[in-house]
Amino acid sequence: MHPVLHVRIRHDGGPVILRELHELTKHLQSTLTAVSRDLSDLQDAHIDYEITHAETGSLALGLRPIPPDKDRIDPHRVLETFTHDIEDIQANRFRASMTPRLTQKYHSLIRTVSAEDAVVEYRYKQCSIAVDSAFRARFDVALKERVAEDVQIVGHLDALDAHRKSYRFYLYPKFVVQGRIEWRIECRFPTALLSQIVGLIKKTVKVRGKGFFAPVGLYPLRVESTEAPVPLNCDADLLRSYVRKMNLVPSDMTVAEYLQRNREAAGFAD
Amino acid sequence: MPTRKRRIYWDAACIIALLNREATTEEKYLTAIEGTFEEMLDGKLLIVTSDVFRTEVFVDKDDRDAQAVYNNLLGCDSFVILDVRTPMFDLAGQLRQRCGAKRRKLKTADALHVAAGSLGRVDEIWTTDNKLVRYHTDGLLTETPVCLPHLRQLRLRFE
Repeated sequence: MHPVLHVRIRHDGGPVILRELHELTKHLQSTLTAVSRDLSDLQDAHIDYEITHAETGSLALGLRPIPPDKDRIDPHRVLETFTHDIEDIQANRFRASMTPRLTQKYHSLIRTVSAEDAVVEYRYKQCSIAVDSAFRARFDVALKERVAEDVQIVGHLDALDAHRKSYRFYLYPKFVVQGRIEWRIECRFPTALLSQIVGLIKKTVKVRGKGFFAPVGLYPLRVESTEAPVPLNCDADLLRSYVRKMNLVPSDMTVAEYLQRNREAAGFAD
Repeated sequence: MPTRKRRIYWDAACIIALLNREATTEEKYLTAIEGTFEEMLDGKLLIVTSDVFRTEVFVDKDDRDAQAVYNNLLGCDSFVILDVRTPMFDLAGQLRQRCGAKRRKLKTADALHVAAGSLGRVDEIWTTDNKLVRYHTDGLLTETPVCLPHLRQLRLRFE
């Protein structure tokens, strides 16, 4: 039997209304699903939760995971990660492997019940969190987007959206399984580049522009570009022709010495 | 249903082993590296590395051969070059701290490679550096298996 996640909504100055319950449960299920997918890297990872108890007044729910059919996700790990992540983010600490899309899910969840006097409590085993207005404010600050002026991203150009301004296309980084839209990068571009970009659909390209990053993740959430993407090609035979043919390491050096010398030259040796 | 390809991270020493005329590591590791490179070119798996390798491997950035290799790897759909970004530095710092606490030195560049591999959610991090492999087996680099290059065992199926 899995432990229960306890959720409580309370207002200092009034009753909990149905809409808040509806919104909170919708976002909570969506966030827990995102955690499952984040941890397992499986597109269809999903756990259902049974309501083990519900109280009115200060509305309280007990949610117990229903063990998934396939033994691929550990519900305990999902709920433990969920509570620790929320606690850590407001303290400006981020689990290294957390994805930007998951931080967006957390943010939506935390902002779901946002009246000044509203408090949402989450309790799972020893971990207890009270999301009040100060907590929400710290969360907002921690998840503020970071901007980098000149970023370059390589990926597969797909899904052009020219129905609304500003125009955008979506770039799938190379190791993203096609179809996982939560990983794609939105790239906005000026109208003048439309015809060039149409010609690059379904190609591997390098995009350059201003990148907007979440505090986690290897790729930006979106890029604003003012120049056309550059198509990239790979000649496999050319690459094969270089295998064991280059003179990189001088004969009087070991690999370790060669690496050390190059790292020193680049300024990151220690 | 989309499937996830096997991902192997290569540190700079693996790339040098692949390209350098003189053998820089044992033949069995070279065989594994070359075999995996072929599988990558056939689109059967992904090789992942971080952009740090460019500085470590190629001394002269204007060298035409170096540029040709880099640009073609960049254009290859199954070869992923990760930009070094803040989360990598954060994790690399944690790894160095963890090793330092056990009086083991993890160099910055090695820590960045291990961090990049972990954040890239690879299945294995390949290196020809025995010390890094030991750090993994000793429980210091636990996020992702760190191992010497190896060929996958063939599975025989009897019907």
